[in-house]
Amino acid sequence: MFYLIMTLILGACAGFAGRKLKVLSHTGKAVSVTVLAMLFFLGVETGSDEQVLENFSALGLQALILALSGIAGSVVFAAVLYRILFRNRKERSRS
Amino acid sequence: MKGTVLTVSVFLLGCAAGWSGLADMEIFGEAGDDVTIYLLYLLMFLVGISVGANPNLKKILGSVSPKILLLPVTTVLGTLAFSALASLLVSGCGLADSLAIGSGMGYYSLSSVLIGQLKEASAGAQLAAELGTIALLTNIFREMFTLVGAPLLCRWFGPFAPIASAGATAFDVCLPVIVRYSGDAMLPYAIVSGVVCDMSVPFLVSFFCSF
Repeated sequence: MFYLIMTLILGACAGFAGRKLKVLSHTGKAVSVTVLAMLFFLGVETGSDEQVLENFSALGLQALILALSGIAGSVVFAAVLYRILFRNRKERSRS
Repeated sequence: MKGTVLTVSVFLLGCAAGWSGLADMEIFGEAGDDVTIYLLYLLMFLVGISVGANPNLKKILGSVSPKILLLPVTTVLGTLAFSALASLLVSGCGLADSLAIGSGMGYYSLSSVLIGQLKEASAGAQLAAELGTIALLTNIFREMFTLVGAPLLCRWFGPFAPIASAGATAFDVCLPVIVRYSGDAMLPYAIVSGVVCDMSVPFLVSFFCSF
């Protein structure tokens, strides 16, 4: 966790130092490709983990309901919060 | 939409490759086990670069305010509220169990171990193991749905939605997709929200396990 944040900060410093370089405007594409690679390997790990696959059918449905509820609740609450924050910011920039 | 279909297919392709044994990571020894971690580090570095090189960096940093803390608080409250409702649908676990599982916030390794341990004394070994497994799957699903659904969540519910959905994973595994779809300006929100949610997990899980 600590090293991840350090890597992020290191990247930010590198990006800031080289912000004039044109190459860096393509970083977004590199991020997308790496995300896809990571998803693929996460899939490989999930698919080859027999314990996860075995338990999947038995407890998967309950987990699915709970996961979707957690996501739905947090997303709905956060969307409301965003509306309020966003409106405030607009008002502030107008004044 | 194209992005979502692509992400789902790549993930399923990986599942199929792992299940069929076509992609056997054991060949590469320990390096094969850790390949996702290395990729995560690479991602963090790339995300760092894209933020550091962002011409609007000053504006982004200027927008950081204590109000940012409201995001993790609403994320946790929303998760708990809907997890409570979900306990009506799930036959296996009661209200407190649902809340304990929900407050894993996507942090599946910690929440499943905690629930498995803490419930053993009160609920017995078998039920505790079951609840631990449900917690594991629930929070893995949460992380995966966020990775896969981030573009849609962002379009339908605004840039906060992927951060809320990611919960505790907003500042590690899910950070790259959040920055990709919600924008660089959401990076401080994602980090603060992820860290606060992450810290809330051990407290909330132990609290709800005590009932």
